[in-house]
Amino acid sequence: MSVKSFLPPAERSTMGGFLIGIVAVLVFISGIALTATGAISALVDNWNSSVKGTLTVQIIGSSSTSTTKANTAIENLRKLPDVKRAEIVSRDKIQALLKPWLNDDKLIADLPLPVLIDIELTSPSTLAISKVTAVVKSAADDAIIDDHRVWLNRIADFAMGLSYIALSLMIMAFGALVLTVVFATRASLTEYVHVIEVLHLVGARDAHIASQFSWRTWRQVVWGGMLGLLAFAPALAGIAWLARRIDIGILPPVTLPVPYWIGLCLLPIVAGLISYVVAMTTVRRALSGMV
Amino acid sequence: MALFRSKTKESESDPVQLEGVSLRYGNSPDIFSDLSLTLPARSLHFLTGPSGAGKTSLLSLLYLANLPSNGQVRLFGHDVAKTSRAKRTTIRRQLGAVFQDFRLLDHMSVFDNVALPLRVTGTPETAVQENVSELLRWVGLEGLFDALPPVLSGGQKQRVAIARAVVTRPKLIIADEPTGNVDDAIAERLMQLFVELHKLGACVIVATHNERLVERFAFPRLHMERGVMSVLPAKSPSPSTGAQAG
Repeated sequence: MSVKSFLPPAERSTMGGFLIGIVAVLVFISGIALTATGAISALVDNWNSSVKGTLTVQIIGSSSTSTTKANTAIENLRKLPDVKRAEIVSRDKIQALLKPWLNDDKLIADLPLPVLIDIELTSPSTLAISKVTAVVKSAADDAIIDDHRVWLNRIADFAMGLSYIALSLMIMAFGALVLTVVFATRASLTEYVHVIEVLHLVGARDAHIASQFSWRTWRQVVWGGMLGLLAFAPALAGIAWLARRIDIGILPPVTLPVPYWIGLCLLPIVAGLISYVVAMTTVRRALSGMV
Repeated sequence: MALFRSKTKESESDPVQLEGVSLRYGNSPDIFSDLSLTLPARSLHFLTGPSGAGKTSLLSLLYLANLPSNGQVRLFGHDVAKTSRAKRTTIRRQLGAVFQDFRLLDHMSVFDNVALPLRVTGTPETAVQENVSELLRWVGLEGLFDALPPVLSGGQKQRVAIARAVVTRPKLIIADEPTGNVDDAIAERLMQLFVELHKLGACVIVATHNERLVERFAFPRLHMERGVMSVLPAKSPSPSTGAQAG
């Protein structure tokens, strides 16, 4: 069968420019949503990998007593097979951590700082944490043990919530794409009803007529999608630049995973495929109403 | 001439068989009712009658733009109301229609308009080029292959429409006022084309108001008036047609 298009050139179509423009906007929105989803997932993974299996023990009191208790605890902890590493966090390091927040060396030097023990577990299980807690408490019963999980879980839940919102935004953008294609295809059917009638009367099969519309829609949507992606590129660069300027420990540098980049590049193709199927279905349904 | 042939196996494959056919649009009164007609292969009939008599509506049943409100329309032995859409497409590929308003596609060249029925059926491009070029030369449009319909005169458009209708050598040709916009010389030439196709085995129906054409070409006429059809014999000796109407 000839692949020659029997429809008037797309640039003469009143709906062509509209569809391309709308798709560009929708792909732009989808790009933002996909980036948000990817970035949040990467961030949560980053948090998980950095704090998972680590504990911080805080021993408050006079410096000498606390250090003695800490050394005893470390000595006992190192005997546990679940403990990979246990060491006192130096006073200098604690002061360095405080400096961005207080920015006053004298004040920091005068602060009564607790003794901190940084513990890394070989496998972060509840049993291992219980054993560590028991050993630490035996050496320093007033020690505070922070396994980071509570705050991490809460912040991760919040982040994942944002990620789901971004994902639903993308789904809504694609839903809007489907509705737009249905609308544009129906408008095209009305615009080209005389062409369809002639094709019908000269013996063109429904599938052939529908494929003419579907291919045209595919081309317009992919083209619109490319434009949307092109417009999104500087936006993405801007987001990356802003993110790099945030210099706080809670937002570590995020590297977007390869599947994200593949997904981003495939957005116009996926939009095109969805539109192809939607246009095909819409036209075939309309043709089934003809004799 | 076998005006009232019995229903034999042979007659079942007649291109056109109408039995008790009525047609109305929506809730309006019948355009015609209880129309029965059989047109065999290798026949040519004029369809005449005053404006509004129902000629175009009758033809619309034959080129499958409408289905009958009542009765049975059988084309090539198939009851069109009961056949699948796919089968109707197959039937459409065996017929060629010339419309009063031409229905050319303005964005396509003369050549591409005529080639359309061949291309939608997947005819090889070499055959398309050969057949369309030959036919366009025959209808006197050799210099206008690349012209777009909007720049053509009414007569030229009509010839393009006729060429498109016959390019597939259809078994049933339905022409609604095919000579309405051309001078007598071209009208005669176009009628000759229909006559040649009828001699090759096609069943041809030509709706016309052109009395001179009807007299010049001695073929029987189906005359419609107020929704009633009668078969009038040719005015001078004519080929046997086998038409029957009731």
